Amino acid sequence: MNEPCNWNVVLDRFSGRLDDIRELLTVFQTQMSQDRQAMASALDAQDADTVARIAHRIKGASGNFSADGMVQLARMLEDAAKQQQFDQIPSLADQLFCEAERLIRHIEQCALSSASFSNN
Amino acid sequence: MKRPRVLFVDDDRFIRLALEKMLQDQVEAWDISYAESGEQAWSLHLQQPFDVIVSDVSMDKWSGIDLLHHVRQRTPQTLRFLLTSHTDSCTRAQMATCAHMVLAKPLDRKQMLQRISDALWFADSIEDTALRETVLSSALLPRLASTTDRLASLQLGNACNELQYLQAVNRDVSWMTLAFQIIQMGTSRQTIRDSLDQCRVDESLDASLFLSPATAHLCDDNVLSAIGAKSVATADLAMRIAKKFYSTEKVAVDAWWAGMLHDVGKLVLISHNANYADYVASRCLENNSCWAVERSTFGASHAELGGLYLGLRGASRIIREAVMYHHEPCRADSVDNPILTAVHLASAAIGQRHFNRDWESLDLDYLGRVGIDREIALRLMGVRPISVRPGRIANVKKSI
Repeated sequence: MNEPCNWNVVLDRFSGRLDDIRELLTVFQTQMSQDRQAMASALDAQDADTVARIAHRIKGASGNFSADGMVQLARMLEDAAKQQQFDQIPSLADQLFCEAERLIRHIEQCALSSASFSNN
Repeated sequence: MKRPRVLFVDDDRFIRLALEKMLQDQVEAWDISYAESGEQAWSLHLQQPFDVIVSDVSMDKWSGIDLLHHVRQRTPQTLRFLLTSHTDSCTRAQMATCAHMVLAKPLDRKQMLQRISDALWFADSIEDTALRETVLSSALLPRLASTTDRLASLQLGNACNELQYLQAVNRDVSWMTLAFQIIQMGTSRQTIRDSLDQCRVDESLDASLFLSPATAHLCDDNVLSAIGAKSVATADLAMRIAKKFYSTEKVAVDAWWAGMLHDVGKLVLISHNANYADYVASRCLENNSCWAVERSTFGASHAELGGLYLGLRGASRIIREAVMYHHEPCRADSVDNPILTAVHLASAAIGQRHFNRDWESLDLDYLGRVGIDREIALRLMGVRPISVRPGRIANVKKSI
């Protein structure tokens, strides 16, 4: 399985400042949790506009972590929502939030490794 | 030196925080502010105008496009950027009417800093405040009324081919400049037809975006036709020269665009000064070097203004340089810019053919530096038949 993000690009984007990346990850995690709840409500209500809006937001946010797989899933979900393809939306939403969890764990590990590497 | 005031606008808290972290090293060079909505950005801008505004497109209530239209009308000198991951044609065409450049999400920090720094430098290069305002504010430059009629006659959504579109607009530098700008805003290389199609889509949405009252009365079809015809001829010859001398399709296409847009600065000057068209006509008849007189009158030549105009709208360095120095290539920074060489030769050839300029307009020092002597120049320009074998020209190039 591919890595969920390109860690070197993330380090470069934030000038190697691990504290900044951790702070961003905390905000990202909180927003993903809120988005997950909002997405569930939108799916119950078959509200395609809200699904598309949340997917668009997640696409932008995950791009900052160079998470290509997650960006791709968010794009597919946004497109499916715009075309009101309710047969595909729930599965894409599940995949997206699973990928978000994988990304968060991966960044936490990378940040730990980079910190121990710089301490040594 | 005063730090430029730069405002970033995004309604997503995470994106604002990411920008703040990304730009930490930039705070000594720029005075940076953040806004969480278009309305808040507008309110801050009214209190004290920003030099640069970088806004997200999709936001509640005011979109980034709404915000930048307000900013363009209120303070045309403000540099306007949009941040977007949008790729749909309609939005991109709308963006071209209010923003100077579009930055793709996710942001590439180095590219963003470079683009904004370049734009600040381009804007500062124009000393005259009123002229700078003209260069920065133009949504669409003066254009031929006949082009609009021709475009209107092509039915929206019909399967028109690229040739029909080109026939409708190809003598209109203003429309071609807009098409070029839309291409620059794209994430992938588009056909000319795609771009022109988008221009039409936008016009059908809101013609007022394109018909600025300030420039509508300045459109003298005779002058604009002459500029358009000369640009088409220059583009075609520049492309032929690039093909002969450099043999790559990419260089040929860039040479065509640079040739097509090489006189866009004249349209900027027409927007700026209603008498410019008469002035150009008289100077051409007197066989004077317009660019030298322009510099003394306006502080910059049409070539320099054209290069700055396109640079502010995301043109690549080689195209910008080709437009900016097409009369005086020795002033360019690049040692050998093939697009500049092709446009310089083409422009000199068309000038001689149409305005009976003498060959002194050829910069033989520059041409010598890039391995082209007078004889080869005249052959490339089509003044003399090419009797040398094709390999000879390639050899000349290799020996540079």
